[in-house]
Amino acid sequence: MKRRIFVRLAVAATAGLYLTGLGCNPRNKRLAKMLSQPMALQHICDAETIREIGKAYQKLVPEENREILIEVLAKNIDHRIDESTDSNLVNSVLEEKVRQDFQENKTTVVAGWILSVTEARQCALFSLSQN
Amino acid sequence: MHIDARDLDNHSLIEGDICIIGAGAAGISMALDWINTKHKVIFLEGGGFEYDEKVQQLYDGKTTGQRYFPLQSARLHYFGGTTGHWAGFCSIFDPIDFKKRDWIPHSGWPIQETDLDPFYKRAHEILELGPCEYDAAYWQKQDHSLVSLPVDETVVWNKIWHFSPPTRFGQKYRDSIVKAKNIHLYTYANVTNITAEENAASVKEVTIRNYAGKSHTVRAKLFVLACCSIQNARILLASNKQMPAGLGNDNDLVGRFFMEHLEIKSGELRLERPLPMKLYELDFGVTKTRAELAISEKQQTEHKILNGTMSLTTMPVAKKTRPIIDVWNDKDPRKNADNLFNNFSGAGKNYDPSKDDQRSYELFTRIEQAPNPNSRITLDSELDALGMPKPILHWELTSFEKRSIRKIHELLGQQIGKSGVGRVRMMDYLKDEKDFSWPDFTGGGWHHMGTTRMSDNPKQGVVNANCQVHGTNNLFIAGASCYVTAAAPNPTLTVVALTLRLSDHIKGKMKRKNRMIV
Repeated sequence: MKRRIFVRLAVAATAGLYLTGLGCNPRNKRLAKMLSQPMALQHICDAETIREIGKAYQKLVPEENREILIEVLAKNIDHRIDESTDSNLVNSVLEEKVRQDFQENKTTVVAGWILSVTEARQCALFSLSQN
Repeated sequence: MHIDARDLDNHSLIEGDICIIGAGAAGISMALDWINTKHKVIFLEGGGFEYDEKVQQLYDGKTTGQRYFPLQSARLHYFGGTTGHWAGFCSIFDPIDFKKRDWIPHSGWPIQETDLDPFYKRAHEILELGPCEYDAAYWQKQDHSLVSLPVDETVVWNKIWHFSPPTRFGQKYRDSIVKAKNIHLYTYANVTNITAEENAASVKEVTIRNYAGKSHTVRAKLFVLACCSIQNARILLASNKQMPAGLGNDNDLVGRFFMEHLEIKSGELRLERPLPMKLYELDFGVTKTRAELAISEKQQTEHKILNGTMSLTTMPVAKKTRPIIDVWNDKDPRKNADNLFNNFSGAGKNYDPSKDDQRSYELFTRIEQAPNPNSRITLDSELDALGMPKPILHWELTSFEKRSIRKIHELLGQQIGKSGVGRVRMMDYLKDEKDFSWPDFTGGGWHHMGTTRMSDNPKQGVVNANCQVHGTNNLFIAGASCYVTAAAPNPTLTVVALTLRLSDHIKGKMKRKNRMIV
């Protein structure tokens, strides 16, 4: 799966999409939106619950502000995305990262939910993006 | 044969070879095992064959510490004991339950799970259970629709529960007992004192009393106390004429280490899409076996937690059920049982699976409590109607139980996340890992255990590995009061198995004694 996503990104790059490093445009709203879609959680929770999880994560890890969350989440996508990147592609990469977190026991308890660290961060970013 | 002790002349002397005190699951299992032997068995029951409010009042007592059910209604006081309204949940203890676990103070039995295996098979017959098979794969072979949740079984595994019809011992075994020529069942025969020989090296006789104002004496070669954990401790503590601290209590252990199972709503399993859940479903009176989610020995060891399991109930039904502790709050156990039945049947009454997306399940934890010497039975200065000091229960939990429940949810949550089928959420009271308080709805399972715990060392236990009271060679204890740790399962199956083991031991002991005499 990981390899497949990598190939898709590579194909996107060769097709002429300009994939920038994240640091160039951290406040980009669309970028934040793309990164703040915890796909698995969206299947089982409503937006309000995701927002609450996000708030709880911010309380737990206050040092992870919006910029840091974007940076950390975007790092999973090899620093090569910008506002024109296909959001489905981002979702796929992050979904894979969430699965990987669970495989590696990179989990956290937030608002009672046992979550992958990545999806908890996505929730936090989602919550911040709503403000 | 049956004798109503109220009809005897006052101060009668009753004599036999063995005296079994208490006709609940343990006492009846033992009596059945002695039918048609050459031994005269005196079988004493405090109540009659039917519920009697005055007799039930003899179980009244105070509770302090953790909120608990009224003691008067926490057990049934008549022939058949609490099997008169039990729900029939049965499962075996796991090997780890018997082991000394470094992270659990006072853990470690002087016997192993394999010592009980043959007796579990026999207990299955008494409890009218199916084949003594506890491997989920066995049941999945019989029914391919029993599909497991996608979990790594080295972390979370499917622990099988069997369901007794449930066997009402009082109804099922009354005729067998009453018709047995060598079993002399005395009803309305409440033991109020055990008189030991000098230095308590053996028991000489017991005193029985009833509401008819009569008092009788029972003499036997050997006595088996089978009255449940609270009453076993109460009788030993109250038998203090020769030994001021009570019989078997040289080391201040009688009544201590009272244990209950915490049975508590604890979380939610939310699925991305419906999955086959038949393996975990319970339909009372229909389901013969089902699984609960258990934590592997390796994980318990690694995370230093207690043993517990989680059952699953579809959320629309679970949401309508009130916590057990709120439903069982009357002194009359019959009212409580009705409330409990209505609670569960009412919740499921209008449930329509076709209108439920079947993606949300309540997690309900059943977990052992850590053995705790401060969790205990003591005697009150207030006496009951027959002159026995009433019991006081101080049920005390520790931070250990809460930490364990939390970790169990984490482990299941990781497994469910890993498999990609959904997520687990623990309830609010578990969210803060530094908060060790318990919510109001914390309850037990009416499972009283541990007040005369087993150990080969008299300084650590009241009875030895054969359930004999240390230092008193003809006094034995049957029942969950001998448990060292509580494990996760409901105690009845193990109570019966342990009793049958004790019965075999006593038979062997009597055989050896007879040989020596010859």
